[in-house]
Amino acid sequence: MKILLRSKNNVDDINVEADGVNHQLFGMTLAEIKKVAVHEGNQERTLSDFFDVTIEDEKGKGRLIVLEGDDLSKFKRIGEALAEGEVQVNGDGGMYCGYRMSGGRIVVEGNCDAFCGMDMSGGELVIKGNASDYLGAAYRGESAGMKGGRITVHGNAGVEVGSRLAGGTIVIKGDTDLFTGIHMKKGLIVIEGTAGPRVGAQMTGGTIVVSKGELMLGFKEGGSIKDPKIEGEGFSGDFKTFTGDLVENGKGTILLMD
Amino acid sequence: MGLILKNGIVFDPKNGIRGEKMDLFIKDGKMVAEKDLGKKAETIDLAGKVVFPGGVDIHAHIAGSKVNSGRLFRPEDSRMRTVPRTNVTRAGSGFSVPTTFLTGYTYSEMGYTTVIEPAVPPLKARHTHEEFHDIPMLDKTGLLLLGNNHQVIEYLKAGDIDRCKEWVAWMLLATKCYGIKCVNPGGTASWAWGKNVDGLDDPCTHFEVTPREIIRGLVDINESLGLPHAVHLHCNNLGTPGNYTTALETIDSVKGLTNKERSVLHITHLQFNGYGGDSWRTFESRGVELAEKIDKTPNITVDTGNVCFEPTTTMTADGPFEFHLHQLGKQKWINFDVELEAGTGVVPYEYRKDVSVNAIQWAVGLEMVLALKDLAKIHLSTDHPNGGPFTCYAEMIAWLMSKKARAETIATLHDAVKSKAAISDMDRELDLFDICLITRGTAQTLGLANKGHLGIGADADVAVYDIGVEEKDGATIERAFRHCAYTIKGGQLAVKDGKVVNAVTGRTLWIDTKPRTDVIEKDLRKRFEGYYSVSLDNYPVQMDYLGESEMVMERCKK
Repeated sequence: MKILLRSKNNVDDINVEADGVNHQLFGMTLAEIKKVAVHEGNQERTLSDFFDVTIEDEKGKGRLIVLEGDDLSKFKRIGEALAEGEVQVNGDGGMYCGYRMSGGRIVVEGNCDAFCGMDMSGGELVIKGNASDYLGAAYRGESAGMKGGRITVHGNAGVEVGSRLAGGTIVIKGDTDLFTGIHMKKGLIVIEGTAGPRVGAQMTGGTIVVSKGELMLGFKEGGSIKDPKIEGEGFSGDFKTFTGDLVENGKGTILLMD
Repeated sequence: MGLILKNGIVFDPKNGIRGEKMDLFIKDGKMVAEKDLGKKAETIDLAGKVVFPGGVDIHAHIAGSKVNSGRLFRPEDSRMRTVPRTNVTRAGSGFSVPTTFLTGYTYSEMGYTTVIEPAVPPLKARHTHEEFHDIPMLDKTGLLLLGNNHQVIEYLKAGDIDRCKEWVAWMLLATKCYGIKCVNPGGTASWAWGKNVDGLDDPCTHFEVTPREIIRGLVDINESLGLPHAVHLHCNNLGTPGNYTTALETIDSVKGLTNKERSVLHITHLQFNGYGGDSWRTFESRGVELAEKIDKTPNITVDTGNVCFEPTTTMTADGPFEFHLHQLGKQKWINFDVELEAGTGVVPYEYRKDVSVNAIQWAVGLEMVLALKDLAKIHLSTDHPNGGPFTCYAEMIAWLMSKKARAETIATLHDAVKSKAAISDMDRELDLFDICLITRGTAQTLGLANKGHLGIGADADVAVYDIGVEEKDGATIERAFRHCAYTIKGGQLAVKDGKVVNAVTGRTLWIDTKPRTDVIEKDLRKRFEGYYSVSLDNYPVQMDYLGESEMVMERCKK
């Protein structure tokens, strides 16, 4: 089953909260999908107010939702609480894309706005462009953020990537901004480009692998390690190991490429 | 237009009515006799339904700067409960620290019509009244934190009860509060130096006055002023293993002091002082011993401070306790020092079924009620939100009324609850009269003559529950007490079928203590000009801040 949501390009200044675009659509008829509630500000609308909805291969085993349109970044919360199947965003993703997802896969062909993959517990989020701030982060105030799953960003990411990370893996192929992995407890963050300032601030556990970047004074240098393997992921090259953040009595690890 | 509540099964402990089918009559916001109803009256048929006076919550942190700090630093609590607006209500959010309007709506949906905010720092009274203004559906008032007030302590140290009395009277009137609250007497004052006190006879830092002297002094002043409510005390050593001995000593500390109308000391959230053992490992319940002590002591009332297994936000003027909790759980923490007056801490906490201490705490609160013979002396509370949000009352009532409901919960708890608490062997099941007594008898303890009963002249605050008189099913009890069939507030229909249908306003209650300012004028000037960051003229809360208000009593003339 493939559900095609083609944007009518009629979203005004207020973004549309489309949290109903997730695996629950797979159990619905075309008429039901068209009636799924979305919100424009405090006004309740339906999916068909903003999308032309079609279903292809209705009886096929695949489970795919495809979004198309000129500016898909105006649709927030796409794939929220996704548990199975795949969502493909053929453009930029809006805020909270993949928020609370526990399974399945979301692929964003363009860039993604803030808070994507927040509170994830499983599944995979792939962003082929750049990610904005708070990628895979904790909801404001929560003591634990992402607990499982995997996020891959092919471009750069903003501030506080993986804040309060409590599990799962985040891979940034480009650079990150301030405070990557702040308050992180468990899990793995990989920055293949340059880590922004204060990487790993106040981390108490988990591992951050960094190609380039400056570490804070709260990290104590240990030995070197060659071709390390962390949480099932292999890395080539020589790395210096650091433990911290000692400000928090932390036992997190940063591997900095030598 | 009047209102007739017909055929309901009425419970009214103050007037000795124990489940009688009768009609009630309401006019101009008061309970009236049928002959005074007038010609025009609407009738609501309550056949098969149970009628209580509106609930009176004696201890719930619903307004003020610490509650708002809890809201601000816990956005995650806000997303746990979001309620959209309706044609008559505003939108709101918050599970353990709900927004002001949502607080009023939710209480009303549960049949409560009066709530006491039990910890108003004098300097923050203006903020508290501003939030009261935004809490609809309820009459409310505040208890003033005075047990660590520097001037009060200095007067008590000097043995100057007369001037201390006028200082207390001036503070109560300036802040438009209702009574004296005393939190960890001496302990919070010591916290300004990073210290605490460890018992009734441990002098506090700098001032060298003992908690016993502070409690006795404030009780003397309370009686001398003839205030409607007893001194409302949060004991020393709260939340520590073995602290039930502090509670027992505190009860004995007011031996010989009496009042014909009410208790002289109200110990609040006693559950948190109901622990035996000498460490977390040997932690055990002493709820039954405390109940026996309360039964034997004539001048004491208490509220329970039950815990329920929910994530919540602890907040108290017991600054050192909150620091201790922060260290135990490594959760985020707010600490305030309210200059010259009080302290405050706020820390998130989740009571968990699989944690032995939490399971035993759950048992302590219930055991105190189930073991007590005179239920007029105990009132239901969760110390909202410290033991859990007030929305848990319905669950508490189910546990108190149904042994089966308790047994089902015990089966899900840490095994320690079976060996270190008595609750597994307790067979008592409270009936609806008992529940009415522990949730409405509060009015008597508070000295609110027009609340908590349905006699002629009482405020027409009424709660109607859709529940059978013999109901013992926990889920049914919980559902009935969480969502009222009807709530009538001040004679107006406010809630129907568990939903607010009319967002009525409530009143702020206050007392006129008529302070003799001339006696303390020199000290007021010295204190405000020398130390306070607020000038004396800007300190008192003007009447304009109170919105709809009612002066409940004037200072005793004797």
